[in-house]
Amino acid sequence: MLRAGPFSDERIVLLANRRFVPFFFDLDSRGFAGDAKALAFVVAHQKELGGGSVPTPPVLFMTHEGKVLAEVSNYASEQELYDAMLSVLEEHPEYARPSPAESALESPLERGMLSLELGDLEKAKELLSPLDEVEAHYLLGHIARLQRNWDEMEAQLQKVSSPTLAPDCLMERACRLWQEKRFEDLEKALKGFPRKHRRYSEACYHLGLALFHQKKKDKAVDVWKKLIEDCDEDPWIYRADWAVANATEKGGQTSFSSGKRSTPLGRIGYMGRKNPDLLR
Amino acid sequence: MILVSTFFSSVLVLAAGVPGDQERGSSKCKDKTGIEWVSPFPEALAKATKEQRLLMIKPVAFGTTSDGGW
Repeated sequence: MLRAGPFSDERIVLLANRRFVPFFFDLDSRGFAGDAKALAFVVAHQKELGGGSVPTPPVLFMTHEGKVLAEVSNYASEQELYDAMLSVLEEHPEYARPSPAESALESPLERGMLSLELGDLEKAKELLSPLDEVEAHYLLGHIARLQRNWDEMEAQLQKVSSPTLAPDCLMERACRLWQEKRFEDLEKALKGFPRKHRRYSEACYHLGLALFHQKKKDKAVDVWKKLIEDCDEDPWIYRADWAVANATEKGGQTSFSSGKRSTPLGRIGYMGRKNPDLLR
Repeated sequence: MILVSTFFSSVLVLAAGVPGDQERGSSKCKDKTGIEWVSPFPEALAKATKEQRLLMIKPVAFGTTSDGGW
């Protein structure tokens, strides 16, 4: 579930890659991703993970010496995990120093993009605002969308004249419609989104949500299933798979899918919370 | 315009379009979230030590499949 949930959140992915060394392994050393050395390292400090029957493991933030500085539940929301990542870096700035390559960045656009990846939106705005370049306006529009400052978002996106960024601007505006629960408008906006664009899966996922929340569940599931069948896996595919699992489950059925492996991707472990996008 | 290799630089450079229906991946580790998992563990540990970064570790308790799913 983490992959369909928090690990599919762009902010988390970017921060994880910039400031952490991400690693996953199977607690069963015989499993495909089993790793005896990792198991020994973790169990030395988290003894409860060493038994035959263990509680669902959290995400652990550990030093290379094996000290656990923070942990976050497997069932945490996107925001909880993101906040935990930012907090552990703030509390331990010795692990948050810029890399040599980052320190060498000179242009405000580059430094603004880096600040955005690190989640420092105010710093990013400070760096990007003086620039009169379409890229800067697009990024400022993106930041305004993250901050739900719709007037500012629209003002910035209006300045993006580049046709190549038009689908990105459309998607940013669609995110606003989603946040404002304007599902009919969202459906209209996303129909015909260019199939070859890198945000096609994001657009299709939201098109499915627009249909789902207009009580067109079957159509929504069809959109998500076709998306999963037709496209390479990415975070939106994982999230669509989670949506299908929840939208098609029968009453009383748990959302744990390890038994039948019945989701389109045959995923394991949709237990705990449901896809929050279906609950709005 | 030349941009550094940040995520957002690729967004801007690639805005013209990257196929959304590429051939399905067949990598050993099937995760496609975009998280750059470092494996095996000794490599992750060495990277964390060298770059003075924290390890972000997700132990998986429900098994991993032969195609890398979990």
